[in-house]
Amino acid sequence: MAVQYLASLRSTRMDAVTTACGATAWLQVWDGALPATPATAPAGTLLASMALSNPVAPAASSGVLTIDVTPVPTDSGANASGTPTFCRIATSETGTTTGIVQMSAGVGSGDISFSAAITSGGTVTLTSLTITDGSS
Amino acid sequence: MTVIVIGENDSICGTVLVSPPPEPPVEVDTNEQEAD
Repeated sequence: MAVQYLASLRSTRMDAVTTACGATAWLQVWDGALPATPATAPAGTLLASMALSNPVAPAASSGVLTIDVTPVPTDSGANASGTPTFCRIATSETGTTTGIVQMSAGVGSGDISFSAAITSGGTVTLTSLTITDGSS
Repeated sequence: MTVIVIGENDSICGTVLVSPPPEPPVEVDTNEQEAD
């Protein structure tokens, strides 16, 4: 059977993400193949970066970490045009090896669902993001 | 740097709104030629 943790311990695991983000973190949006790890330099193009709050989220509850979107993380001038394929929460705006967590992305698909492909100079706004510990 | 490995049973769910850049202003020709 799968390993099960107490709800409090599941929250502790998720809060470790917030701790790792520190005072400054961004949600980076990339195209190209998903790298092997969050700290592996991507081969694709950085399409946009949205600054996250400090801390990035309040304390997790029952193993669910809800990223703070107030104020709304926004990139009002996307770096490049493209279709997102993955995102990273990273400790730098444009760094390629500063990722903490990475996830799939797509237009209407993926862990993070985008409303449309990104156009250079356009606006990209994070409206919701939760990470859920699955060890319940 | 610490790399956090998310367990295979963990899940992430998010949504992002994308808007295109603003359209450039349309130039209006103010030097209309009078009709013959």
